[in-house]
Formats: sequence, C-alpha cells, structure tokens
Amino acid sequence: MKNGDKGPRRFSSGHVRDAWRFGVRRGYTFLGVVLVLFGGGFSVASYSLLHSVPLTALGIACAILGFTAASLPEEMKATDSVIAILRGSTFATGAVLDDVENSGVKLSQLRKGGILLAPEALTSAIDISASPRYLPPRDGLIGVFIPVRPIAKSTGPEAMWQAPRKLDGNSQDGLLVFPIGAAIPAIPGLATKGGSIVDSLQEVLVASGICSHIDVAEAGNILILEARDVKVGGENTHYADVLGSIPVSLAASVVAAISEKQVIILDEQNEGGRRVSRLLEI
Amino acid sequence: MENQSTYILNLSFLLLIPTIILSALQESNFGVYFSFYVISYLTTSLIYRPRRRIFDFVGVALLVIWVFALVYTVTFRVVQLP
Repeated sequence: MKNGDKGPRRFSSGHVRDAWRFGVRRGYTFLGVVLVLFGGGFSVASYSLLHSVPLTALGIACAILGFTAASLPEEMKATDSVIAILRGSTFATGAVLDDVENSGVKLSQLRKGGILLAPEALTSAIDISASPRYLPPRDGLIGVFIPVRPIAKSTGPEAMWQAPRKLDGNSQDGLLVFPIGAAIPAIPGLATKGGSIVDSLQEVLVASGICSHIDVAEAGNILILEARDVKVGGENTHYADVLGSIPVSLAASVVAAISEKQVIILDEQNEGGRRVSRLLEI
Repeated sequence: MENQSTYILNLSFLLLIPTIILSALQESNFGVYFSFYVISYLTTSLIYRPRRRIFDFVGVALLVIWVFALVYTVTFRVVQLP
C-alpha cells in the first residue's frame, strides 16, 4: 500500500450520517413514490384478487400518504456552518455592549419569562424610553439604537442614526449598533413596505432552517411571535439579553424592514426550542 | 421533531386507525373508509399547515372525488326511488 493510501473504505457511522443527511435533503419524495406505487398495487390486487374492501382501503390510504409525502418540500435545516456564523456574528456586537456596561452604563435588558399573551398586557407598565430600538432601514441596513439614558419621545430615527457607534464618554443619548439581521433589507424578493410580515418571516426564519414554524398574531402595533423548533442557539449572552436571541433579533429586523417603523422587543420567553416574544412598532 | 415529520406521522396514524376499526366492524362500504380518510387528511392539514412544493393537490383531489361520489350516490338513490 502506498503512503497516503487509506486502503479500502469501511462502513462507519459517518456513512450512516451521510446517508441520513442525503435522505433529509431529498425530503420525503422517495418515501412518497414508494408508498404510492405500493399502495396503488396493493389496492388493485386487493380489489381484483382478494375482493377485500378493507385491504383495498388500506392500499388507498398508503397512496394518499405517499402523494402527501411527495408533495412536501425538502426539509430545510440551517447547516452547522450557518449556525456557527450566526453565533459568531453576535459576539462582535456583544463586545460593544460589554464595553458599554464596563464603563458603568446600565443597559435596558429584555424581560424574560412570564409573558402574558394578551397584546395589551403590561405594555403600559413597561418603560420603553431606555429600550433598544430596531430602526427602519437606511442605505439598505437595519441599525439598533441603544439608549444609554432615557430618551425623549420626540427623538426620531434620523437622530438615532446619527448616534456614535461606540461610547465616546461625551453626553451622548445612546449608541448605534448593527444586529445580525442588519442586511436583511437587501434580500431579493423580501416584501417591501406594507407587504406581508408573515411571509417575510417565513422566508427569513423558516426557509433558512432557523426554525421550523413561525406564528404571528397582530393586534394594533403589537406583534406576538411564536417560533417553534428553533435550531440556533448559543449566542452571546449579552447580545441575547439586550437585543434578543438570534431568531427574535432577526424577526425584529424583518419587521423594521417591512413596516419601516421603529421596533422594540418588549419581552421574550424561551421554552426549549420554542420562543415567544412581543414586538412593539412605534 | 420537525413539523413535517409530525404531520406525516399523525396523518399515517389517522389513516390507519379508522381502517383497523372499520375493518374490525366488518364494514364493507368503501365510501365509509374514504370519508374517514378525507376528514383525517383535511383535519391534519388544517392543524399542521405544512409548507408544500405546489398547492395542496391531494386535498383538492380527495375533496373533489368525495363530493362527486356523494352527489352520484344521492342522485342514484333518488332515481331509484319508486
């Protein structure tokens, strides 16, 4: 055997993993075709040869299941690389937030847990004057203004966009950082102003495999989001505390891009792979 | 578990269980089986609302066949009345 020749390939757990990944990427098409063929043949044979209605019905049931399976699209999953990139991108902003807090400024943190799903609940009790605001897109980017002191209601997004990118020690009202979804407005085909927020959230969060399902309830200027089977995690803790976890931060960026309003994440609740959050558009 | 996997799994149970029960009851009318399949399919699809490659052609086909069979059966019975 020559040097570098690994010899005959042997069966290993890696082969099983590769086969599984291949199967998942192909969706349920193969299973569907097999079920349709088997179900069709079985029902014909049962009806013509065995004259059995239950077995014919069983064959038809297999065919229905097969057609259904074949009609489902490929299962989308964020690859390990994408998850790692998303996690990593939270650390740059997290470092900026660390610097701010190390300088003695106490940043507003998200309420976590105990969310009441009634949209009007507690909104009046929450002081949003110091909450981070996802700003409407400018030059194709979403920014987040993080107040270092309570800001006046009259402060507009233009003034917030002018905020410095870091704490400069002067009497600044806040700083501007870029969230992980900063470039979301540049996604081709994403709904523009007035478009469907639900479709855009599906496009960004579900089609990319970050979560498997997202529900949105809208009441006035409050959106309640529920992301199920979230597959990304491990983001920078400081980022998650101030700007929300990865799916919620991305959702806030999408809403800011579509509605072209400021978006505040009121609260977020994590239950395993399920994230519920409330977003306020102002 | 993925939404799609749960959907397929529950649908398969909902198609299999009526078949077993009706078979045990010695039901020989295929229409009864098919009606259960249509209801099971539409209910599961409504609950899970899975993403699809194209429109829900299975649901449409099942519904069309079911309605057509129902109309045909009713018409046939009415015509047969003395």
